[in-house]
Order: sequence, then C-alpha cells, then structure tokens
Amino acid sequence: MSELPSQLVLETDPITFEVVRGGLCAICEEMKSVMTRAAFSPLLSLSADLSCALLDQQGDVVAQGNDIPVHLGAMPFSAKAILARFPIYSWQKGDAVLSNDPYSGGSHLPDMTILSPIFDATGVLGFAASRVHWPDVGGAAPGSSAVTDDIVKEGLRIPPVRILRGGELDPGVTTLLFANVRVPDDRMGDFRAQIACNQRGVDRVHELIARHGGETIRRILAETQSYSQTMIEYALGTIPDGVYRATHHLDGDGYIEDPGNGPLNLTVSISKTHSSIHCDFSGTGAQARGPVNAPLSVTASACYYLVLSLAGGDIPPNSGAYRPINIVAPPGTLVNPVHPAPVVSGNTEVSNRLIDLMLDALAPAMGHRAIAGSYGTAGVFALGGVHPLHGRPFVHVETLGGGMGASQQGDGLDGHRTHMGNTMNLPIEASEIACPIKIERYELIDNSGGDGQYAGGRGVRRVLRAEVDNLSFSLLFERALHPAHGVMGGEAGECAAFRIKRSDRTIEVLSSKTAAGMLDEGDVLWIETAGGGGWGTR
Amino acid sequence: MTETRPNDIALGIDVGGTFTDVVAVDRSRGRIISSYKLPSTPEDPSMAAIAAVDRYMGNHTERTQAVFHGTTVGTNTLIQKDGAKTALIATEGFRDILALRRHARPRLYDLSPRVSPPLIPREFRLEVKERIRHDGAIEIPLAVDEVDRIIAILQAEGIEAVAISLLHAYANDTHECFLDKAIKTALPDVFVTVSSNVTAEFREYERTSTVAVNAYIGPRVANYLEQLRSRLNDRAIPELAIVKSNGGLTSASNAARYPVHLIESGPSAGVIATAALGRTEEIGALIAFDMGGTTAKVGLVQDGNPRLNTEFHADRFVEGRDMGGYPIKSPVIDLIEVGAGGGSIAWIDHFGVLKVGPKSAGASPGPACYGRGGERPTMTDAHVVLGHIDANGFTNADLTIDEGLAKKAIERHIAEPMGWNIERAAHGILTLANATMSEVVRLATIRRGIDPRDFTLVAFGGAGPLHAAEIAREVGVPRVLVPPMPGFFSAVGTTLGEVRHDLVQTVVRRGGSLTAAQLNRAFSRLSERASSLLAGERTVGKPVYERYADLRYSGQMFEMILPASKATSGSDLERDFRTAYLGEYGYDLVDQSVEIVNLRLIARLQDTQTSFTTPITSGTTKSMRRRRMTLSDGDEQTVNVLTRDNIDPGAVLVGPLVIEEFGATIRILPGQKITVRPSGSLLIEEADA
Repeated sequence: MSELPSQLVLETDPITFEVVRGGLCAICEEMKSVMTRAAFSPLLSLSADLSCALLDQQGDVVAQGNDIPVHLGAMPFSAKAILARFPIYSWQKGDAVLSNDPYSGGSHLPDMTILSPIFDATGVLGFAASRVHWPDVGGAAPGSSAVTDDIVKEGLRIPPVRILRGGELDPGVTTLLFANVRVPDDRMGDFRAQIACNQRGVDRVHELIARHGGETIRRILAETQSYSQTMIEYALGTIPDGVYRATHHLDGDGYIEDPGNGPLNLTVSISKTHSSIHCDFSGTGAQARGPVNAPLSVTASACYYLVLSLAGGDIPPNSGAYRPINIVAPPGTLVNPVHPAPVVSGNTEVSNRLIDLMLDALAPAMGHRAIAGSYGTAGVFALGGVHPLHGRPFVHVETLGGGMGASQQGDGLDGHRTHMGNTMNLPIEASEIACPIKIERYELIDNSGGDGQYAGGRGVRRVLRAEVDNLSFSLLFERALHPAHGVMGGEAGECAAFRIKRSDRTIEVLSSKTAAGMLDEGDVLWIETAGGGGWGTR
Repeated sequence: MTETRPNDIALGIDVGGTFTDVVAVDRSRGRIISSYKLPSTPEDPSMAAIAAVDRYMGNHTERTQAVFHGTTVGTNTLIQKDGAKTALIATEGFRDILALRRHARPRLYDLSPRVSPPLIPREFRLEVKERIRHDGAIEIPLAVDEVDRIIAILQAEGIEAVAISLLHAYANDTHECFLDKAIKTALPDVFVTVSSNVTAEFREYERTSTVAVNAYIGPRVANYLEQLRSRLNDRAIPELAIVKSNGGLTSASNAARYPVHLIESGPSAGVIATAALGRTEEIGALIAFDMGGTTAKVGLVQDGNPRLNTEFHADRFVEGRDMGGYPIKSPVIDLIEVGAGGGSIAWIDHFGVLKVGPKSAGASPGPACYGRGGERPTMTDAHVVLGHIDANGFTNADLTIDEGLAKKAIERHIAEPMGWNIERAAHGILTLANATMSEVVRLATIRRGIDPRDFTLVAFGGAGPLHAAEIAREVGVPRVLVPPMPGFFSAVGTTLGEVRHDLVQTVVRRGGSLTAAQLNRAFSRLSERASSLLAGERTVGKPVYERYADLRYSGQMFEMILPASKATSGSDLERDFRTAYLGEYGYDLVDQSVEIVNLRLIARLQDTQTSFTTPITSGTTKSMRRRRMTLSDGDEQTVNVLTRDNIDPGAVLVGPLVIEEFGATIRILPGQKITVRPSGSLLIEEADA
C-alpha cells in the first residue's frame, strides 16, 4: 500500500542539526513576541493574527511559528513574488520590502508582508519575514472587509515596494501609505513593531552564523526542509492511492445566492500516488462578483493545512513539507481569481469550505480516519453606530464559533473556531460595556450536530437586542443553505440561520451574507451557526 | 532588636511527584537544622507529610511551632477529575459559557482537537431568570420561587458543591449573595461558592471557570486540610500555614474556602526561596531555575519580588497535548515549565533524528542506571556515562547507580542506531536538553523584552546545579548561585513567605470620571474584605496594604497594572498610565481615552524574619578527589571532584570542577570560577569576566 520513507540523509552533524533547527523555530516565535508586545492593535495582541518565518535565499520557508493556518501558503508565495521584483543581487544590508498584493502572492489586502535580508560573508543567506493583519488598509468601510465588487474598493493595494534601504525608511512610501489608512497613528505603531520583529530575526540568525559558520547554516536551511518533506511523504504513504472527487457550493457572495445549482461551486479532484498528493480544482466556478474569491496563496494554505494535519500536526511547516503537494487552480476561478476580483472573504469563507470539500473527497480513502464537515466560516459579524453615552461612533467586530466535524476520536468540538482561523470571542460583559446592545443568549444549540456514533459539534446561538436606533450590522457566514457533511454513515449537521425579530414582532429572515443591515431599538438579531457532521451510524 | 524567639521551630514540607522534602528551620536564628527526603504518597499526600513530621519529632525534643506546607491536592483533584459532584448556577441563556470557552482551539494543526471537558456537565448547569446590567442596575429581579426551584434540583440530584456565577455580578452581587445564603441555609453540607466573592472581575468565562474550579476541588481540599490540621493538633503543633499560588501564605481555614488560590501552591515555593536568597545576597534580579526528575521550571524575581501573572490555565497539558486547561483568575507566580528533567528519555524519531523528552522515566522505573527496570536512556544516564555523576559516590536517598546499565541503554537505543560511540551519544543527549532548557530561559526573559545579562540564575532541584552553568553561559546570564542544599530549596521556601491576600474589583470607568471619593470608597470595600481574611490568619505580623489599578486605552483588550497607592483620583491614575505606556511602548495616544478596568488590593502581614543562612563549615580543599570525564570531542580529562562541606570558604576554585553534596551535583565548566558567598551559596562566574 505504501512505501516507507527513505531515511533522512544529513551531511551536518545530527546534534548540531537538531540544535540549530530548534533554534530557527524558536527565532520565529521570538519574532512574534516582539510583534505582539509592541503592537497596538487588539487583533494582533489578542488573536495573534500574524505569522513570522525564516526563508532561504530562494524565498522558500525554512521555519515558521505555530501560526494560524490561513497564513501558511502566503509566506512562500509572497516571498517568491517579492524576489521576482527584487532579484537576489539587488539586496543590501538593512533593506526591507513590503507587499500586500493578492495578485503578487498575497492573500487579502489587510495582510502586510515584510521581507528583510540576512547576510553572511558570501552574500544573502536568507530572509526574515513577517506577515501581519492590519485592522484597516483603507477601502469602502472601516476594517477593510466590506462586500464590494472590485479590489480597488477593498483598500490600498501595495505591490512589492522597498520601504527600507540600508536601514533608512523611505519617507515617500510611508507618507503615501499612511495617507490611505484609517487611524494612521495606530498603523504606524504596528508598522514599526513589524520592522523591529524582522530585525530581531535577522540579529538572531547572525548569532547562529557567528557560532556555526554561514556554510553550515546554509546547509541546515536545506536539510530542515528535507526533514519536513521526509515526514510528510511518510504520512502520505499511509493514505491509499487513488483519485478522489467532490463538489460543494458556497451559500452566496453577497450579491447572489447559490442553493446548489448555481455558479459558486468548489470542485476538487485529489490524486494520491505513493508519497505525493495532487489537488486539482479544475471545474470550480468562475470568480464571483462579491469577495468570496480565494487567491492562490489562500487555496494553497488550505491544502497545506489539510496535509500537515492529516500527518499528525507535529511536522514543522516549511516549503519542504509542501513539496509533495501539487496544486492546480485554474486562473479566473473562485480558487485563483484574476484582477480586479475582490478577495477579502477568501480567507474567512472559501478557505474553510475548501477544507470540508477536501475532507469529503478523501473520506472514501480514509475509511475510519475520515473527518466530517464543520461550520465552514470564520463567522464574522460587525456592528456600528453611535454610542449614546459619549456620542462617539463605535465599531464592534467579532467572530462566532460553530460545530466541528466528528471523527473516530469522538464528538466534534462544540461552538469553537475550526480549521483555518483561530480568533477568540469577546466576553459578553465586555461587549455590553462597549456597545449599546444587550446580549440575551450565547449558548449551544441542542441537536444541531449531525447524529452518528459520534455526533458533530453543536452550533452556537447568539441573540442580541439593539438598545438604540440606527445600529448598522453586517454578517459574513456560511452554511445557511449547505449543511456540513457526515462521514461513515453519520448525518449532516443542522444549517445556520439568521433572522431579525423587529420590535413590532415581524420576523425577517436573512441570508448568510448580509452587507448593510439596520437595527432599531428593541429589534433582536438572532444568529445560529451551523453544526458539524456526524461520524458513523449510531 | 536581637530578641530571639525561643523554640521557634518550623517544618517546611514540599510534596513533589517523587519525593516529599522536609526541612526543619530554627526561625529565631534563620538556620536549617535538619532535612529529610521521604517517598511521596500520591494516594494520600498527607501520609508522607505526617510521616515527615513524626520523623523530625522522633529525633528532636524541641517543640515544633508550625508546619508550612505547599500542597498539590487541589491540582491533583483537577487532573484526576475526581472532584465533587458540582452544579453551576448561571443567568438564563448563558449556562454553556463553560463549554464555549473563548472559542479558540488549543492546537491548530489538528483535525480532531480536544479541549478540557467542562468540570460541570450540561445537566447540572442550571439557569435562573435574572439580569443585572453592566452598571449594576437590576433589570430582571431574581424571583424567590426561582431560588426554591434551584434548591429542589440540587437536593434531588445530590449535588455536593455549587458554583454561582451570574452575568455582571462583579458590579452588583445582590443576586449571587441571595442564592448563596438561600442554598447554604437549605443545604448546609453543600460547598457553595460565588463568583463575585472569589474574583470580582469582569469577563464571564474566566470568572465562571475560576468559581467552577473552586467548587469542584473545594470539598476535597477542605477535607484534606482538616485531616492534616487535626493530626497536627494531635501532635501539639498549633500552626498550619499553606503556600498559595501567589507565593503568599494563608491559614488552613482561609485556604479551605478558596482552594482555587492554591493551584500552584507546590511549584511557587522555589521562587519564594529564590527571592529570599536574593534579599540575603542583596540581588533584586534573579532567575529561578528548578530542575527535578521530570520537569524544569523557570521563574523570575524582579526588584526583589517574584513575577506574577493574573491568570493561569490549570491542567492544560494532557499526555503532552494542549487541551486549553481551566482558566483561573488568581495571582500566580509566573513559571514556565518544560518536560525536561533527569528522567527525560532520549529517543530517535522515525527519520533518524535524536530527541530528548518530553516523555520521562519518572520515579518508576526511573533512569536505566537506577536498576529498577528502566531500559530507556535518560539524561541522568548520560551524566553517569560521562562521569558527571559518580556511580560510587552517589549520595541520593536510597539509590544506587549502575554505570553498566546506563551504558547499555545509551548504546542500544542511541549510539548503535546512530553509528556513534557511547560518549558521543551521551554528549548529544545533554547538548539537546541544554538547548531546550536554554530556550525556556530565553522565553522567560528575552521574549518578554527582559535582558538576561542583568540577572543571576539560581539553580536548585536535584538536577538544576548539573545544568545551570551550561545554560547560563548559553543564554548569557553572567552569574549562577547554587544555594545550600539545592535539593531542599523548595521546602525551605515554604517557610519564607508572608501571609498575603490579593483582591480585585472591576470598575470599567473612564479615567477622569472616577472621583477621589469614588476611588476611596472602592478601595475601602476591598480593605474591609481583606481585613476579614486577615482576621482568619493565625500568623502574627503587621498588616500592610498596597493598591494597584489595571488601565488601558479604550478599545484595547489588555490592561497594564500600575501601582495606585499614591493616586488620589481617576485623573491621577490616567496620567500615570500615559507615562507608563510611553515608557513601555514609546508612544502615548493623546486623543485616545483611558479606562480604569480593575482595582486591586494586596494585603500582607509583614514578617521580620524572611531570610536564611546556613553555617559555613571550615573545610579544606585538600580533600579533593579526581575523576576522569569524557569531553565532547571524545578526549578524556581528569576533573577535580569536591564534597561541598570541604570547600574552604575563602577559596576561589576554577573549572572544570564537580562538587557533590546530599541530593545534588554541581558542575562548573572550564573557564568558570567559583567563590563561596557569606550566605553559604556558591557563586559561579566566567573566570575572565
């Protein structure tokens, strides 16, 4: 059924290898700590919506922290795009290049990538890289995550530009940048923190070079990737060879709904041969008018996350681990859009639905190890208005959990974030202090997980009452139309549901993507997220 | 001022996973007069504790005044999930708070992640119709028939403990107190605990989790403490003081009401001892490095005080897997723990790469060289093979070392598969382990923006002094102190704390809007509660109160804790916050408003005697022995070996050197030197520094 992995061949002394390899991973975590301690944005300090990596001179990832999965693919894609613009010979000590362009390897505009070169005696040895989600990068609405039909409306797009030359910030670039974002002071703080974080990575690798020599470090950068590759190949060897297919549909894109026969279909054909895996998304629907388009780096992140997790989750993520994973995503589709498609929800919706799609396809291959579908979204809802207490505008952005798919290990997790993202919820007590709302319920929904030997995780019910007029809200959710699949005979989970009970007792049913809703005092917004699929028959 | 307290003998008892350590301290003179190691009795930890007391009393006639005790009973109850049958009472619509947690999963690359299961199952998570607003106003009053309905359920289900946690109860505890009183009156044998009393802090999940843990472990801990106290009473020992997670002490009766504050009782004693050693040595910045058989722990002392966290996740790792644990809002000594100890097992992964830990051979079977059936090579075996630990001169309790078994284990499981000789394999094991532990020291310092070069590393635990010199050199810590009797340091630490209670009250007000009168009233209420806790203490001392406040810019998720004893109003606090923020992060946000989130009060009973020394025996370095050890390049070297008692106090000795004493071995590397400090501690420094 499978071929055993060839033993890893190391030229480096194995003890030095393991010490330096551990050191490289620790440097990534140290870079993150520099960023989170210095950042202003709660999004960074609370949800750690950032990632740090060390790259070799080809822009391949050598080491990356235990980062949120949706950032995995973006590192190598962004780095390669930056190196295409700035070839290796053009870099000097103290340089840095910035980019957020989904059409140059990025994922969505709020994610800012910065690369800083690391030199040894012979030239560029590699790069320290960081990727940070900014709370705002301009665009149509605060938060830069509105439903629009053009990437120009999503915010400021930055193709690779050099921001530091020989340690000096380019004032032209920064002036332009900060003139185009909301709350520029906060963003400037985050920006400086990010540069400091890269510098820490550069300094720490210099220490390793001083101790072990540049030649040894260069060799270990390559061997570390081979190590992860060997581990992934071994894990892939345990999945039976074959071709596995599935098609799912998204709920909608904010403009149209797709009840199952529409254009928003995600299709995959996974060919598993020996120790490699081929994910072909041919047949997926054309890119949507709304922002449910996943740039290639996001699609790749989903594939990487899935394989790393199938392999047990303890394999250090790097480009070596990704080598056995081939991805075909036709341009102009939901999984590899072309300019000027909007992309901001590719991260939150499409990436999670792609995981369920691939799990569904692989279910026959995995047998008892199959995993059921989950609630399929980051569950972002936003509220905005003017707070009566101090007369100032406020914005409240939050994510909601849902049901996770069951597995042979047991019931799916109830009411948690699943797969590609991992933000925290906001305390009820903090939300009621900050906003003129009363939260009436935050609870698990009985029987919402798919039935089975192991039940799918339960969805979440969140009920909130407006305490003022003119409270605007938006919803970005999934699975109001398409439930999470069960496996091994387990049943599908319950669908999500969204409605408003107006103060005059009329009820309005909402779709899972509601761009510009409005609540008045006494209106009650009722959100129910989907349950996970079940595993096995009871 | 040299008045001596007669007969002031105290026993410090530290219950570890392998051994229960006991020291007898003459507090009037600050001297350790005797010490024992006994095997722990995990099924009933008080057995080993009482056996230790009896052993001391059998050998000494002086009357024992007090027993100081770091306990792991609460933690073990949580880990083994054998707590009380517990119910939660929550506001209608919110009984699932305990299951929803903060909805982030603890492991990212896991298709079937698991989280710590709620301590209270869904059928016992009860809801009451009531609602309090965030400003404390009652929107829906709690009806009496609701209370009767709840009591009937508790009775019918045979509930043993009840956690009450209602929304916004930190702002108004009327409903919680009403329920508390009604349930206690109707069901006097049930352990009842309310969130606003345990921690009056906002953020409902963490507060509810804290009170749920308090209820779940409450009856077991109370029972354990009561038994221990009655056995001590039988032996005419009047005082029992328990070490809290915050490093302070408390009476058994206070401890039994708030067992949730004891969760880190055991590990915190080593950091208290580190701080006390710092006072003696007049060093304010210390890294506590505690390494035993299964784990290494690193804590910090800054400006003389142990670094604390305001939140802790108990029972977070299950078989090495992060389950998220149970958040506890309780000041706790900040310790970073890693699964690296003398018993950590070395192994080779599927792909031919050497690893050490986190699996440990523990106390049973223990390292291969113990000859108790352990076959896997451990860190201790590597030390034996290299000659760091002497098979003949091993002075630990009831143990013999078989060098042949150590060699066999390393040869079979590491050297042969890797194609190495045994010595190279042993060096590889230690190099990897030291790299791991160095990262933990970096995590505790550099990754928090703290410069380790300003610190002195204090090495203790059975294995700490074996590794400290190498780790300090690796991280750049310039000095290492090895206290007297490093194997008993935590037990000594239990006797060195002060009575301390930490209280908190959430306010959430814009800085300028909190008047002097309001601020004073809020702190007075905290002082009243503190006084009633201090009244429950048996220890004598002068009460000292310190005020603190948590502030943030509006919209931020995290607060900064600032001293507030001098502030007279909210505006003062806001000004202090802006200055502190500027200092920490390099900017102030002038247009952003500032919120006061929590007020904190620390109440202590100041003790005059919280340091210790040990007599320095006038030894002579002439009794030095020599032993052959293998270096990393395979060469052999003859290294001097000393017994600690034999070190001349005036001597400056240079490495390489090994110093042996009861319960620990100290390694000094080539290029390092040692001197003996007046406290009896050994100071290790780089010779050329």
